[in-house]
Amino acid sequence: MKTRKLIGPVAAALGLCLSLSVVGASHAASSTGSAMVANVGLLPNAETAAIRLGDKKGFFKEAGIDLKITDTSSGAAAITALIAGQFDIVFANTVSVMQGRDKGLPLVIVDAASTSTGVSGKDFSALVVSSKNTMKSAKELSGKTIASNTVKNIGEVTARISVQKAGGDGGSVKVVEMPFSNMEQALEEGQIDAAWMVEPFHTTAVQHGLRDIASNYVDTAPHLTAAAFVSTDGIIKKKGDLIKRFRTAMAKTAEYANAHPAEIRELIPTFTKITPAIANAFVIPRYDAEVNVASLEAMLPEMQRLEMISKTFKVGSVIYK
Amino acid sequence: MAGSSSPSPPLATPGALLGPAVVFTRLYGTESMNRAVSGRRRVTRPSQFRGVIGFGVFLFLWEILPVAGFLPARYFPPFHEVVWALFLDFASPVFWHSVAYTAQAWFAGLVIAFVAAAAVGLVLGSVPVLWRYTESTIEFLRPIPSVALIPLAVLMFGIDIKSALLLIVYAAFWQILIQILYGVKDVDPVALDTARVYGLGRWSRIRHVSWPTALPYAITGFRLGASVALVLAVTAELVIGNPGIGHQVALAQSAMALPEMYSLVIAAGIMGVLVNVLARAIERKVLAWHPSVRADRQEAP
Amino acid sequence: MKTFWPRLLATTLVPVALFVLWYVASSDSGNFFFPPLAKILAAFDKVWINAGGFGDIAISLWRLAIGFLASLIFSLVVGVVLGLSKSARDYTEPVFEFFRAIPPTVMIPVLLVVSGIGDASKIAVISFGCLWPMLLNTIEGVRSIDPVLKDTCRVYRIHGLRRLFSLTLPAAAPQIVTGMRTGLSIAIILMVISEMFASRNGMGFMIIQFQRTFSIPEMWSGILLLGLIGVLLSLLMRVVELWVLGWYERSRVR
Repeated sequence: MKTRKLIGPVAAALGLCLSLSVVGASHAASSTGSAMVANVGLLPNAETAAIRLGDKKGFFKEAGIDLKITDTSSGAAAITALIAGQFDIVFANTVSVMQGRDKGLPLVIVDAASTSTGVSGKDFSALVVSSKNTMKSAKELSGKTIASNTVKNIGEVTARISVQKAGGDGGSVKVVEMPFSNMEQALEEGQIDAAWMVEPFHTTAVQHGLRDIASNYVDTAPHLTAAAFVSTDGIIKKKGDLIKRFRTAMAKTAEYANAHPAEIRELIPTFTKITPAIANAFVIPRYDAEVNVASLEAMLPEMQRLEMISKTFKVGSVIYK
Repeated sequence: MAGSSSPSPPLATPGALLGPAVVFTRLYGTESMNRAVSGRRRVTRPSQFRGVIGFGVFLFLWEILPVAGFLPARYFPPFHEVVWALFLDFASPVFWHSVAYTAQAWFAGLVIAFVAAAAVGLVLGSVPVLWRYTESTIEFLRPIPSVALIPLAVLMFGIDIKSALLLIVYAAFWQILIQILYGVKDVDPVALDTARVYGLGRWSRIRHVSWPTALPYAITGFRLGASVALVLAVTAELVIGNPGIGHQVALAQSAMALPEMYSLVIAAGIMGVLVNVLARAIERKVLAWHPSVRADRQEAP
Repeated sequence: MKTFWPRLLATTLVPVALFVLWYVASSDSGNFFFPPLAKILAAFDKVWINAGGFGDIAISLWRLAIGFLASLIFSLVVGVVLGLSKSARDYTEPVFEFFRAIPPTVMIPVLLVVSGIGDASKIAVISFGCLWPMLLNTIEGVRSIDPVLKDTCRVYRIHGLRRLFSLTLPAAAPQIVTGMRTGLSIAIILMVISEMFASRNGMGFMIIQFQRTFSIPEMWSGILLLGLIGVLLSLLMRVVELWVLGWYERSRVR
């Protein structure tokens, strides 16, 4: 009888200890040796192929950085984790970063991650229509429905700009949210008129007979910096050396990645679900390290019109100095 | 699974064979354990046999309808494709890591919720003044859907396990607390008075009178909390992206790998069944010595 | 009347105190994730009461209502039939128990593929999720009707619809209501979560948008709103419960 009565509290205590250890054990790793550890959050997509290639080639080790990569699920989630202290640097699209800074988060872009190729029809982002669609230009998308994987983000902003630049009414476009993988089907079934797609979905769709109607990044600005590596004011202050080393390594990585697209294509299937066949066929972004500030400024008017950002926001506030 | 190129596993790994066997025995187990706990006699052979037939018919339909074209195979891959994907899962370390992660979050959240609810429940139930003043607050906080806290969890903890724990503990806590409060209310006042007369302090009274009376309710609460905890654990992974089973389902969906997606849903269902079975087994063990006094007060079977 | 004021005090003291405490403690908050309560309330007013946020509330609740009612009707019909027939139960219960064990939110990606991105898939998710507790509870309620009552009906030759409405449903009512309560809380969870994926409107959509764009006071206002809705729906459920079970209690033979 006595032991039975004890079982309860003892089990509870044990269980509690176990649970609390689970809670406590989830803290990030600490430094080892003379290399500084950089906790980096990356999306598992083609735009992060360069930094992974740079890591593989040892550029980061050379610069004295031990790169610890963790997958994130979206730009906004990555930024959140950055603020929460889980990462030193994360990959996020530039629109999210600007929005965050505008709302008061101390975000700073330390390097560009992926940049548009600048060639219309051969970019890694495009507005796609179904094979049955007879539209000739983005102008005809006025008043129609475009799908984006998240609303009020870089896809929507650049799509609207595309329509506007083609002579249509960018503001009249209706944007619906859906996962990239559902877009092809939705287009073929007529649920939507056009879809904003990035690689590899874009090339997969084109191979299935759908076609591009606009290159929205190209229409927005020459060589648009679509995504970047972001850190915070606090981290830069505390770990300024780490950030400097990161930038050194990234500069080298960028140069190498742009010069060796074949190695990028080889690497992509190893950390994504993209097959080698698609990886060899699709358009890879430019992996410049320099942020194209003018391209970010080009997006501001549309962002302000959509009430995504305040009128007083200055792009300079988010650039590393 | 994310990152791996297509493997060619052996046709029947031990894990894969274990799977269906576990499913079927556990399903029998649930039924007969249900009856054992509520005191009815064990189920006879024919109805168990019929259960198998029913299940078999369902699987048969799942196989035939997509193959024959009555269901669009685009959305409903036939059963054998899903089973194959399930076999591949059982052979995949990523799968087991995800299961372990989900199980960990479930367990930790459930235990923390249980201990907290037991502490709060015993105190509130035993000190009438406190209860009178906090009842309205509890009745107000209880129906707040835990999913409302998702954005907050994301902002505070990102994809760290703590974000899942926030949701799991919040949801399971209320389930268990309500049951424990029922239990403490049910304590025989004569027994309490007798204890007081014999000089037992408040803490001793709680330990020797209130807690044993409340124990059956606490265990019911534990059982209800266990399934709520699993739902929230998987939900957190699905929405926030914590690396568990829920996240794998989301990944499979975004890659349109439908057989895999369905196989993961089945895996989640199996986890749910196991949780139920485990909870009922604990219920039987702990209450083996306790007369079943609490027949009609259950929330839901 | 003598106990009115003390009772009012007891009921409201702690909630009000907590609210005031939150207001004061957060009033000079610099923490980005925990803005002052004053700001949250202002955002609440701006988003939900004025700028058309009400439309999103209405859409969410409409989807909830349809999904919940569809499952309720299905549960009542199928549940009664199965509850009365042991053999039918034997064949179907294992399959149903398995479906019930699947965490309902996991079905969201599935239904996204099957029913697309519109209202249909959200209503389907809500329906699927709350179906199982209601169905299984209905079956249980019908199955465990006192055999004496059943025999009495047979002796008095009360069959068919009359028996359904005079005996079966009232006797099973307490268990059915228990199922409804569980079903409602699952339905609310699914209503919110289903709107966080591939959605254009609804409360869940708004809240997740606020979180993505780092509009923190607005996000908190959404959390408060969901809490309020949860409480209101639970009160509504209580009213329905009293109505259904009160009728049952009154019509019972003593």
